[in-house]
Parts: sequence; C-alpha cells; structure tokens
Amino acid sequence: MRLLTYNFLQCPKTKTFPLILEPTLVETIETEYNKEFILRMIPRLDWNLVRQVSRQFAFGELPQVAPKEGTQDEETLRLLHKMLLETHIKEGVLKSQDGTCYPIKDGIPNMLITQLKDE
Amino acid sequence: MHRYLVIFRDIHVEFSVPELLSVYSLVARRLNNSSAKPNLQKDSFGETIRLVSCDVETGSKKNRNIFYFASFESDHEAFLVGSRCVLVRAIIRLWSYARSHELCLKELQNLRKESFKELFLSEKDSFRCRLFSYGRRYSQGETVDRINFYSSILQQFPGKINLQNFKHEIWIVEDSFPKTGHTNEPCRTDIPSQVFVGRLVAEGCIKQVQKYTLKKRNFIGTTSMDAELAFVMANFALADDWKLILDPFVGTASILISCAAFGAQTLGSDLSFTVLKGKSEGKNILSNFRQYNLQLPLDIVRCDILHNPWRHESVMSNHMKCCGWLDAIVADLPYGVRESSREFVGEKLHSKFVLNHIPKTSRVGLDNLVSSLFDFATFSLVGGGRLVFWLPCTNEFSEYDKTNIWHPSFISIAACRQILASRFHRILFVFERKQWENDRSHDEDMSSAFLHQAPFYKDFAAKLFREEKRAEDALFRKGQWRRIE
Repeated sequence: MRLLTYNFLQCPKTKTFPLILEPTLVETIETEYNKEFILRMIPRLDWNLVRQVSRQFAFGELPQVAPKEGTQDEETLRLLHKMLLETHIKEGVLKSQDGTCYPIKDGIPNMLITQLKDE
Repeated sequence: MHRYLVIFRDIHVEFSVPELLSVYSLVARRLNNSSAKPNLQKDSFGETIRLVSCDVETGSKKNRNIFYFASFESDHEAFLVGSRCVLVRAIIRLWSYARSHELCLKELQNLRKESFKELFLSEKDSFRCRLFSYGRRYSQGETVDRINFYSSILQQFPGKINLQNFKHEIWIVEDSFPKTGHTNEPCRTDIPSQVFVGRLVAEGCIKQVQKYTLKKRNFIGTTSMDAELAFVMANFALADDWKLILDPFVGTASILISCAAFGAQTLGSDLSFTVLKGKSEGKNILSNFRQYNLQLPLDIVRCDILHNPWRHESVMSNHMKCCGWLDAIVADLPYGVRESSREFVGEKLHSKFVLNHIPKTSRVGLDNLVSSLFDFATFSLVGGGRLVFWLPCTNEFSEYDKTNIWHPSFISIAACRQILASRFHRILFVFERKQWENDRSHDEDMSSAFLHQAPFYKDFAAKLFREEKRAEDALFRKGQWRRIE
C-alpha cells in the first residue's frame, strides 16, 4: 500500500478517518517523478494527515498549508512524490479508533471487517 | 468549421457515436485549457454530428449505417478525436459527396483550388489514392478502374504518387450496402448508393488496441473484459494523463489496463482474494501491467463496496473538504451469470486467526450493489468525473428502462446496449458527476431512491435461466443487508 492510498481510506465499520497506520515492513520502490500528478492530487489530500505521515516516517516537517497550483516549491513536491508514491507498506496493520484491525499483507490492505471474540 | 465524414467500424454500432462525443469532450477540454470547467450542455459539436442518410432521401431504410457527417474546428482537432476512438474507422475531410461517381466527379471539378490546398503545397508531398467500399468487394482491376475515373482531378496535384510512404491519402468512399426490406426499386448492385471523396485526416486506434487482445494476455479470468470494449470504456471514462481511476470490481484488471494505456493512474479493489493474489507468482494483476509496460496500479485493496472503506467527504474536518478525489470509476458488476454478486458477512473470530482468515461471503442483490456504487461515486468523484458501468438485461429491455436509472447528482451521458445472446444483453451506462457547488442533493441519503423501483436488472439470473431458485427475493432484503454492527 502506498501512502497516497492511505490518505483515501476510512474505517468501513465506524466511518472514521484517519486510520492509524502501524507498519512492520516498509519498502521504497523508485518510480518516475510525475509533477502534474502530484499537483493534481494535493488538493484532494487531507493535508493534516500528510504532515502527520511525514513526521511518522521521518521525512521532515512539511509547510503548514498545502502548496497551491503553480507552486515553485520543487523540493516539497519531490518530497511528496517520494513519500506518497515511492514508499510502500508491505506488511503492517491499519487500526481504527475503536480497535478494529485491518491487516496489510503483501502490500494489499484487507479492509474487511473482522470482529474479535477473545473471551 | 469544416465538414468531415466520420466512418465508423461496423461493430458495436450503438456505442460508436457516444464514444466519439465522449472523446470530443475530452479533446475540447484539453485544447482550451483556459476554461477550467467546461459545460457539457453547451457543447455544440453533438448537434452537428448527424447520420448521412438524413441528407439523401433514399426512401428505403438501411439496417446499418456507419457514415456520419461532423464539423470540427480544424484538421488537428479531428485528428486528436479520431485517433483515440476505438470504433472509428477513419475521419476524412470531405471534398465532395453525391449519389454516384459521375455526379461526384462533376462536383469535384467545380471546386475551387483552395479546397485541395494541402495537396498543392509542395512537389515533395507524396500521396496515394484508395478506394474504400462498404458492402462490396472489388478486384484489383475494378479498383484501379474506379480510381482512374478520377484521374482528371488527381493529375493536377504536383506531388508524386507513392503507395508505401505517402504524406496524404485520398479516399474514395463508396457505400454499396445492399438495400434491405421490401422495395420496388430494382436491385442494382453495380451502382453505389452514395459516394464520398476526401482527404484522410485520422484513423481509429484499433491497431494499437489489438496489441492488448485477451488471447495473448498473461492472466485472464472468466469475466475479463474484451480489449476493444475495455478501451471504449476508458474513452467513456475520459481516461487521460494524470487522472486517477478506480475499478471497485477489478477482477483481472482488464478495464484498468485500458485506462493505464491512456496514461491514467489506477486503483483497484475486489472482494475476492483469489483474483487479487493471482494464479501464481508471475500470473497476477501486476504481471498484466508489466506485460504491456504500463504504469503499475497505485494500489490493490481488498474490500467490499457495501462496507465502503474509501474516504467519505463527511468524515473530513470542515476546512479540509475536498469535493471528491477520483476522476472516474469504471466497473463491470458481477451480475450473477458467471460471477455471483456477493457481499462480505461479518463473523466473530479469535484474534490469532485474523491474519490468515478467508472471510465468509454471501449472495447479495444486484440492486444493492448498484445503489452502493452510486453512493460511493457521489462522494468520491470530482465534479465532471465519470461513472461507467455495465448492467445486464434480457430482451424485454426497452428505451424506457434506460431512464429507470438516474441519480440527482449525475447527468446521464449514454446508455448503449451490447447483444450477447438472444435473451442476454448488457448495457453500458455512463454518468457524469455534477459540479459539487451546484449539487445540494448529496446532503441526503439517496440510496433508497433506487431500491423501490423494481428495476429491469433485478432477478436477472432467475429470468435468464428461468430458475426460480436464483431469484434475489430469497436473499436478505434492504434494511437487512447492513447487518454488521
């Protein structure tokens, strides 16, 4: 799962957003830098979550407000590309606020609701 | 504005005009970047395109017609549109048009030289002439005779004739399709009913599409979409560079491959783990993308659209409202013939089984899938985004049923029927999301609007196989299907 997709996922059970990401295996796969796509995606992202992810994965601090169209801030865009499109979560868990777990296996998040009975 | 002749391929006839209109709106948006939000209703191109036979009062109705007149701004625009349509055979800049070769030649001789100015430009520009006959096949000699008939025109051009490497191609188009039905006219097969002469501007993209044929694809399943139709769907979805397109029933990703071939970024999701995992290491969804050197899908997610895991606009904090994040949704719903419509059933598990558990699924009504697809599309598509999906129907389907499906937040663009078997048809529905600011209806829950209409696709498998036990009435009905607390 790429971190871009993480920004689009909510908990299907409680309808809460964002989920809490707990990765156990992270991989970086280089892809072609696509400035237009990043620019197109920025207004569709929850910027608070992007900043939080950037802190979580030690990409450094991002500006308070999302870059606007026609920005000259190439550095931020490159950073966003590296973070959102090149970082893959191979294994890990997405956690909802009520504790429901959605495992990520082989990079495929399983968003089906599993209820636990541990008594 | 110039007059062009559009020749469609003689296949999927119902899809051809809507596909052309879709591609036109995409190209028009690309050409005038200044107007960020073009209005589809103002589109005048749709009014200019019309069937050729309306011009000639032939008296007898033909069962097929592949010739259409259309007006484009320029050759460049016609080229951009024509070269992206799967169902277009060619677009030619029309010089003359008449009922017979003799009249056509006379009209050509009366034309001023400006009409052929591209061919008079330089001696270096080579050209060739070609006879395209619809409904007849000519031998080499007959073809040459017909081309020689126009020699008085062709000899004026300074360029050299070159059959292999040519810059311009002149098409002599003959419509000789046999008249059908009962007419008093004597049947003359030797004279065509219409003749067109013009310069070729664009050819359709069928040659590029043939590369993607399912016969040579690495990983396919029972319901993989035929490559041509997948490209038609991608055109309806306005797939283009930098767009984000999602298929919620991805299967073997046959539709996403066509979208990715047009440069779009793709996302896929499915309920079935077997297709997401693939047959083996080198036979899965990703290997299909690698086979054609396409951009890999951004992600594959396992989910059930009835329990939607994609971000809903209402969950976001107020100052972060985004007005959608997807450019298009393409879907081929599982409608219970080859693949049954299924939903995920919640069950309680011990935590140590969670990671490797294959959850239980149960059958679900197709109308539930359709209404949740609309729900999902309403909240995730950007204004102007497209929703493209198939629904099955039997031969009792009527024009009225096309209006049966509607949604207050969407404009209906097209509904085209493909006949699969005598009683089994399917329809491709295309909807466009209204701009968010003009749309207040997303505040209410509209999902119930569809369920009470007893739509034509309900109980489809039971109707098709005439088996009562396939009826969806036996399933949990509305109100019960959201039974996971």
